[in-house]
Amino acid sequence: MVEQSRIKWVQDEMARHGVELFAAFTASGHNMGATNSTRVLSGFKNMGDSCVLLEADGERTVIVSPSWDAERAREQAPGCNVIASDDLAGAVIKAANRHGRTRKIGVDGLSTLAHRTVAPIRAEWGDRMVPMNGAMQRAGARKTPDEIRIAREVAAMAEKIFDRLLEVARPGMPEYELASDLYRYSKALGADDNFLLMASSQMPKGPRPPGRRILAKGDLILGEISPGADGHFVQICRTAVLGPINEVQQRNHDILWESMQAGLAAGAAGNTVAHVANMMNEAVAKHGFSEYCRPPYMRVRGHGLGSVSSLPGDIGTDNEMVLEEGMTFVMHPNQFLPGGGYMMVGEPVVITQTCAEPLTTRFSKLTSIPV
Amino acid sequence: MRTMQPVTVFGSYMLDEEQIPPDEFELRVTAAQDLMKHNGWSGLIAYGDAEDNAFVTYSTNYSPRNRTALALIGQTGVPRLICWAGLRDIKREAALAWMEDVRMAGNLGETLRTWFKDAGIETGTVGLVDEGAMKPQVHDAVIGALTAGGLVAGNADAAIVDLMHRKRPRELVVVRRAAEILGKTVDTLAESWRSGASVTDAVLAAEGTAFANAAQDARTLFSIDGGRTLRPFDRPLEERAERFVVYAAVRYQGYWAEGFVTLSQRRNAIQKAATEAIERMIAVARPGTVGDDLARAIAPAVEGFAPHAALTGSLAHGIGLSLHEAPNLAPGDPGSMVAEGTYSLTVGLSRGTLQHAFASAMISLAGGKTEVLWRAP
Repeated sequence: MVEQSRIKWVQDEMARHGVELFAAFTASGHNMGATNSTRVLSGFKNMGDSCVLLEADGERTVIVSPSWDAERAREQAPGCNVIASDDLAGAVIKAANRHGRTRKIGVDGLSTLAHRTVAPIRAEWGDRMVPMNGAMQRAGARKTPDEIRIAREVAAMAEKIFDRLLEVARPGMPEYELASDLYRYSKALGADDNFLLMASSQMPKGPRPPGRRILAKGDLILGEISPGADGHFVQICRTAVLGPINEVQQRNHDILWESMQAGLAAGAAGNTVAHVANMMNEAVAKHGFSEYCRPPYMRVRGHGLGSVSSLPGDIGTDNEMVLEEGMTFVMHPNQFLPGGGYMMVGEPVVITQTCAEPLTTRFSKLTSIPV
Repeated sequence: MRTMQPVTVFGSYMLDEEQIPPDEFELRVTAAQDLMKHNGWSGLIAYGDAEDNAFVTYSTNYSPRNRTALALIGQTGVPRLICWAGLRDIKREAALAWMEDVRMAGNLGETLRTWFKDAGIETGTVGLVDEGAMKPQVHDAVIGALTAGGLVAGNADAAIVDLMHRKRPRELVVVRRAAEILGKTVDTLAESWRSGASVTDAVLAAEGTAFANAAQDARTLFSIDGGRTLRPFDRPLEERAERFVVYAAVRYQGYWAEGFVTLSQRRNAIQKAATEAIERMIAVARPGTVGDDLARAIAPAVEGFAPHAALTGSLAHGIGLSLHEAPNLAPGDPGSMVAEGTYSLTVGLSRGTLQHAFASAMISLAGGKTEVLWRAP
């Protein structure tokens, strides 16, 4: 689904920058925290590096690689001209020159591609290139009602994936087998990708890649479950205990949930991201854990989610961006606290006039898996 | 084959020192350092990211799951690994490497200048591996640091490709295991398909087998139009393909195995031709074989059929820490097979718009003979 309002927004930016053509590049290496401009502007999820050329009159040409992926692009990008090539740089240069070699070209996302692709484009376009870095991020900063509806659906999918974790995790199972099960389950539900971080340990210090570790009674299982579907990533952060929950674990989880509630209350439109992060930190600090509100005990208090736009970026005390109604991101006071280890607590949220509203229906709670 | 790169890779990722012990990495790094001496390089800077990280993995065992890394190799000693990870995650990332010198990228220019000093690199040429794949900001920082240090950048790609082309004995052990996992993956696919599973269920069952056998990564492409076009998974499909063409790739301890399989109730002429062509390629594969030799060998079997567009002319290529290593063996290409090389062979054929078939095999040329590591059923 292509939001026409985004195209219009970019056209206005083109006029503001005095460019006649806009080139938005998307690398093959997908990123849960980045805009996929090709998908936003054309509807096509690229396999190789790709580019969308947007003319001032709204005409779109999507250039995809590899050459044999043309048919899928035509299917998914109705209304666009499709060019498929194994030489993206050559194809982009040729398509951009269709109306002459003097036009000014606004460029976004070129730096996400490899030097071998970037160099010939920079050489050809030279001074005609007008940096419009971040234009696509800004175009998608406020999600539309339809996009928020999709995000809620993907959040429901994430909750089902956590249910699955609770259902299949058992002592004796290798971590990689659990991760694989969840990944395949998410695909069966309709996710086309999943940024899945998970780890199991008696006292984890943070998430780690799943390995050959065998799940054991007493392990905390951490899950940063982040399915992507219909061009939207959503993330929930959950913690489960393989066996009974002890008092310290429950106390620590309660502190993180308090932090989460402080963040939700602070996340009203008009407040800064830094304000939200500070409120979340204060909720932890008041229990005597202020020294743990920094790396390596934590990273950030949440972050934006791709593929439309990952604004407002990392939820940190140094981010002065003002929250706007309709922004979505994951808010997560994930961190290490002494006695219980690293825990994950987090919900995807949408910013409203009064607060940050969770997109999930069942909030994070420390869950015991009977063994 | 190009597949859809996931946002992160999460199979069985940790180094298994029983399979690849630290001394294996020491020997590889020593070989790279010999190469540096031979070429007059003061150091090597190798780039890797989640999509391709062959030499970074070769020298450090580190395969980035979703970011970027640099392996820095001086004339002596162990490599230094630079990871794009923060303070919380650096230990976790370091645990994936075989050696201890793992650092955060920080200000990359500064980080590189510190390394020049620590490695005693004051003058001369520093070889760059996979410079073309570097993201512009990494490239600019590397070139900037070299220039500021009075150093010159050299292209080390050809020499490193040559070094990695011949697989070391322990690499072959791991490649064989990767091929074995591929075999189990394809067997699951075939069983699911025969039992009437939908396209999605069959592909997901196959990927599950790969991961359950400790694969680090598993990728698939499949066709829902009899092999005419290939697609990655992007939504669940309930339909069942009568003629099911699937490409599967699995990565185990860094090493890839890949292949195509064409499943059907009855093997038709085009499928038989593709299978015969693969056997003909296996028969002529030996050190020195080039793409033209392979093309000549398969010509009688594939007469009347056109090469499938998805293979863009390639008949075989090296495979190992990259899914598609040099040499590419296509008609007219100069690259040739070598002793101790491992290769992926694929024939894809089309006749008109309705008939298509693929067949594949993986071979190694170790010990003076051709060993078939896997062939499509």
